[in-house]
Amino acid sequence: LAHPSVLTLRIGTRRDGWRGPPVSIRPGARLLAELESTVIVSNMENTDDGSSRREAASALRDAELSRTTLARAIAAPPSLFASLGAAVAIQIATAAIGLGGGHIWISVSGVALLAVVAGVQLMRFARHNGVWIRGFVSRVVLGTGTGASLAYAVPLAAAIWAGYGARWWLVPPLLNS
Amino acid sequence: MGELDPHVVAPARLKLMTTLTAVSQAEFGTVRDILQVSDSVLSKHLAALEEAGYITRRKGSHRGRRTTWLALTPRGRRALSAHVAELRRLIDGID
Repeated sequence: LAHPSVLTLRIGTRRDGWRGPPVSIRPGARLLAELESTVIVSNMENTDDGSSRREAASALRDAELSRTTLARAIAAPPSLFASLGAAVAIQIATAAIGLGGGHIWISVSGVALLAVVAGVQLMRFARHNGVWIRGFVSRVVLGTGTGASLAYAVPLAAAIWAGYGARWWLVPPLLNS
Repeated sequence: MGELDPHVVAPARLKLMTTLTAVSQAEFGTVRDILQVSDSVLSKHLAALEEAGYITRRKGSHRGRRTTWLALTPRGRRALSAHVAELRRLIDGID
């Protein structure tokens, strides 16, 4: 038998005999899935008693629980913040040393090191949690949050000032010569 | 008065789409474990939602093996918002 292109069904759930609007369904591999969804829609929209409310509330509660479960399972892999912090500290120090001593390659190598560490930690985060989160790169890794920006900018400015001032405790005399 | 979205109304699909709102992308196995469904059931729902334009699937790798990364599309986010609003209307009993 050839499949019809569209099946039109009437699905009614009211006790007064009202049969509900006609529903068109495309037959095919997902016929049962579509039929299941259509029946659920019809039941929720046409049932007058409290069962539809309970179904809707239960569906929303379960969905929110799944979302919360995933969110709570997300965690930073071990040493993520320590390694990022160390890489940032090295980048700040190398920026100051490179600018103060006139050795740009030192500054560039610090930036490259930070980029490599950040990339590796991002991959570890995705591998650890099985998710990507928008904003993680900018706010956590690149530190665009207000606190992180200040925590980065102030030490960087101080280090550059120390570098240009040739402070002995930051710029080794050998590099400053 | 809006309408329930037939693509989202199945509880498993509502859970799937709501779960994906927590992240930008999620790996297939992670979502399967959260929803506590089988690979085949999840694949069936993903196929339907992808056909509706509500999610995207991207081939990638995870823990050294090939897998699929899932993400909601902007259209999917809008559909989910409208569907949830309609569910809340049903719960509140507003006509």
